[in-house]
Amino acid sequence: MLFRKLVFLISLPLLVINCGGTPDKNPLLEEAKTKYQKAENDTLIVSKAPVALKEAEEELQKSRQLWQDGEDENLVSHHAYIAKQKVAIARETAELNAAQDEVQRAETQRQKVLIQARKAEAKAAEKRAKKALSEAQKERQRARELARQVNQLQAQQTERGLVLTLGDVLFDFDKASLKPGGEQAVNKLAQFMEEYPKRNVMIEGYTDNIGAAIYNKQLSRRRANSVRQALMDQGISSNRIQIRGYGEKYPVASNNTEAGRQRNRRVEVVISDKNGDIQKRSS
Amino acid sequence: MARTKAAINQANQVGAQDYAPLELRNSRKKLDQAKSLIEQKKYEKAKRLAERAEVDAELAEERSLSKKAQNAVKQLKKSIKILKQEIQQHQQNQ
Repeated sequence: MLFRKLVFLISLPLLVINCGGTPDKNPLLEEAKTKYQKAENDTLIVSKAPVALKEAEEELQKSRQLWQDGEDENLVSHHAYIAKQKVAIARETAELNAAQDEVQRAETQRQKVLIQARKAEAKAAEKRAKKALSEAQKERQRARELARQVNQLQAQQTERGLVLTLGDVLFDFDKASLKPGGEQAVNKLAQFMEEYPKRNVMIEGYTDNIGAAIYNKQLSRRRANSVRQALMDQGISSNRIQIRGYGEKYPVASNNTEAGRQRNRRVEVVISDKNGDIQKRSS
Repeated sequence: MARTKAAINQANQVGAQDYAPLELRNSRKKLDQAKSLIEQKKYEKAKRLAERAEVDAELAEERSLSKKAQNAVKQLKKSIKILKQEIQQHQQNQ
């Protein structure tokens, strides 16, 4: 009695599984069928692995036929297994082919990006070249401008550098204050110094040999100082301006004639090189 | 049997050990079983097992190739992304 009950309980789930179908279905064949159907409906596999899919189908067909002919279950399962694996192979083949297509597309894209990069690099180089060219042009323009300004200042190129000479007519007799004409010259110099902030000046006062040497030295220094003051009034920093009073030293003409003495009464402005350096008087 | 061995070798050569180790193992196991079946003179059974082993090896090979190709796609896409980023940064630095 107990045995019968047990048989009933065990057969119940089997009945559920088998209900609606042939009672002796081959599970492996069923699995292969399901997998094949899924692959058959997969457009990727159909388009990318048609041959592999066909091989799977043929193997499945073989298994089916054997089953329908009531052949050995093991043989049916054998072909069903091969069919199932061939479906899997078809799927991998499709994915492989799709990936290879993708590699090709990506490679093309990579090339495009590389070309883009090169173009961008070339553009940047062109930009740099243009910038360098325009800087060179600016530099040349600056040099021309300097030449023009120096010309306007009526400065002379000497072995000590550019020297601007303010004659004594720009000062009242025995006075250190600048006349209006002198101020104009100083304004030009201030403008120049503003435009060329790296250039410094040395202002040197000189006299003729009339009068006491010590007095002349003081007068020449006061005159140099008033030029400095005028530059500072124009906003030029005092540390860019040095002064010297040389008195009757370093005459540029004979003191024996009035014309010569007039040339000796002067203020010289030595303009530094572009590093701000001024060569000192050696003699 | 020889075809099965060749298929396993081929799978091995494309790196199935790393990319499809399970399939490769299935194949080898079946081949070993087929060998012992031959010793027992169960030739028909051995032949079938060898055939199943062969298809397992083929799957291992195909899966390896596919995975490798997919990795290559990933790598390429990544390198393109990095390239694009570099170009962008480069342009911003200009």
